[in-house]
Amino acid sequence: MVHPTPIHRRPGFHVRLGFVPLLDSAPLIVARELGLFDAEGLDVELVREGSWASLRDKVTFGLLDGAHMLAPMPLSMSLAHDRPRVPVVVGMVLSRNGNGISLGNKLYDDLVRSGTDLDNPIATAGELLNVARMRGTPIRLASVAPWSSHDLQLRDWLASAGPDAEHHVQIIPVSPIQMVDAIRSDAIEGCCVGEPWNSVLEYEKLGRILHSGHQIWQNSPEKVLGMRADWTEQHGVMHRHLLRALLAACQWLDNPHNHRLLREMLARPEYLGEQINVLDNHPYSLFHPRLQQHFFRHSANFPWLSQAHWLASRLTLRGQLGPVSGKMLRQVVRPDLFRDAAASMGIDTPVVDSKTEGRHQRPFTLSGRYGPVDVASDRLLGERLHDWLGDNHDRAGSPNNDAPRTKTATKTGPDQGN
Amino acid sequence: MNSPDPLRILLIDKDPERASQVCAALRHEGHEVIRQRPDATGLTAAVARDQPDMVIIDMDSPDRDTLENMSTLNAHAPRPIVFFANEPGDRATIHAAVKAGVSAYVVDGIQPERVRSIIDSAVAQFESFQALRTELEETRSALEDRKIIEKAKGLIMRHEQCDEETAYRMLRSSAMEHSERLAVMAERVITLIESHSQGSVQKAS
Repeated sequence: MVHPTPIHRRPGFHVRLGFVPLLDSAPLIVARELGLFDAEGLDVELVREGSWASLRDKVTFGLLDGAHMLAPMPLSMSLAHDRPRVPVVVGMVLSRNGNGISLGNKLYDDLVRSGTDLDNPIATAGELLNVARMRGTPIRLASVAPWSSHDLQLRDWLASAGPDAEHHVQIIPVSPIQMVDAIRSDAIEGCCVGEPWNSVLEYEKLGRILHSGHQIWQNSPEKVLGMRADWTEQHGVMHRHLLRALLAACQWLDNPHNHRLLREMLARPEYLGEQINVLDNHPYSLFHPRLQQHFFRHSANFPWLSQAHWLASRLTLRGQLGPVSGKMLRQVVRPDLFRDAAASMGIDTPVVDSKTEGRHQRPFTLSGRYGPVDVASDRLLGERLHDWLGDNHDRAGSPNNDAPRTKTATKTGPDQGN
Repeated sequence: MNSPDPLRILLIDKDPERASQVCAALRHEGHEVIRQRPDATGLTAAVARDQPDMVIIDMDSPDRDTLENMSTLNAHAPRPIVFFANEPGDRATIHAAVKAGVSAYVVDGIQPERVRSIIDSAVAQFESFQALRTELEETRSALEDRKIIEKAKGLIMRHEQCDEETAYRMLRSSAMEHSERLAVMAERVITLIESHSQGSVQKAS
């Protein structure tokens, strides 16, 4: 599985990929460090970006061919209604989960004292509003970019407490890199952020993880590979090679035996550097067990159209996108490309492109091309169900010529469990 | 460049030297420039208080994520310049800006020509600053390289008992053979010969 890194750089197809130094940029770093890109004939240049905004701008102007992106980001770039669109193609999901909703010590203690069930996000959201009402000033929480699952998860969580949540909580944008300082200086009282920042907060005794993103949207796509659509059109074969290299990296990442080596790779100054070294003596040091971050198991990399639609619907709800049709979505999210790349590596994929999100409380199986395929559970906060009607509406015009749908995917009826 | 009403520009750049240059250039054009290095939340307050028409910020600053979101909090907050890239002329300007590492946020309703000229002069400052820095680095590394190459040459001369020109030729041809920079090959030769002679000293003792 491990290809040695060649000493001499072989001439390969040059691709520029951006990343923001977070734990979930690991697939790109691993693929490069293990020589997986080389093995696919790719010469990948990894460009570290200080903010999501700068990553977006560089992709927009072609200074990067693609990047490690927040899952809602390609939707927001490709389907924007209030600015020039930048078509981006998503051929795979890079990671699932990994976000935490963390509170500073004071607010966390307030919740503990109230006797609320801290494992129940709907109860804690309600109690949080009580705290705000009692003290008479809004609670200040932070999220990262508006087109991030952090922001959308945080808002869904608060909204579960009722329609007046917005009056009692102020959501301030803060870059992940500045999050710890913002809590330390009491500029914010809590946040929804990715790793390693939740662990750092706990380690430095500045706050505690209250909920994992997993408790809001189970196993939702966190980061994806987003490539410029004109690039994928011109370089279809290279795109497939890219997906293959990253898929191999994700498989490697899910094996805990590799995590010691991963730690060493991430700690290099051109990747995460000091950020990760802060956690040197932390008991979890890399993956916090509560956050359930993973990269490969249970068809983690499959880009579900129904999940993309769920994210698009949240963006629309927050006024960031206009209505999104199935046809628009299919131009951005391409399960067909993923299926093709995975099949070439002997990895089976579901034959359907969408499922009812929120239906499955436990991992389940779907029909693959060659047999049953494991799929992760997908519960949504408040037992919400999300059916993607768009798929039925424009099935005729869709490029989906796969095998007939299996019973689990679209029909209503109890099919969870297994 | 003497516009009747100067624009109020908030400048955020972690590099104080470069910020001074940009600031001087924009003031010269008659604009009011506020220089600041606030933290993320201070930035929200600063924008609310100073109400700049435009924010110029270095591309890599994490503060950008804060600026990005401000327009979702407040309809009058400046919006990212990339959102205005409709006209081909604007696209060229913004492309140059992204390339030079300048990003800008503009409030609605400011004349595009004025925005363009401000960005152009900020880009010019960033670029000249970058050119200067690259030049310095190149000079430094050229000096380093020469030292290493000289040292390797001397070692080869002693080791192979040859003249300087032969030593240089040997170094150059092996660099070409391994498709390496001359200085890199020289460094390797130094390590090789030095470890070799150390080994023989140990053996002798």
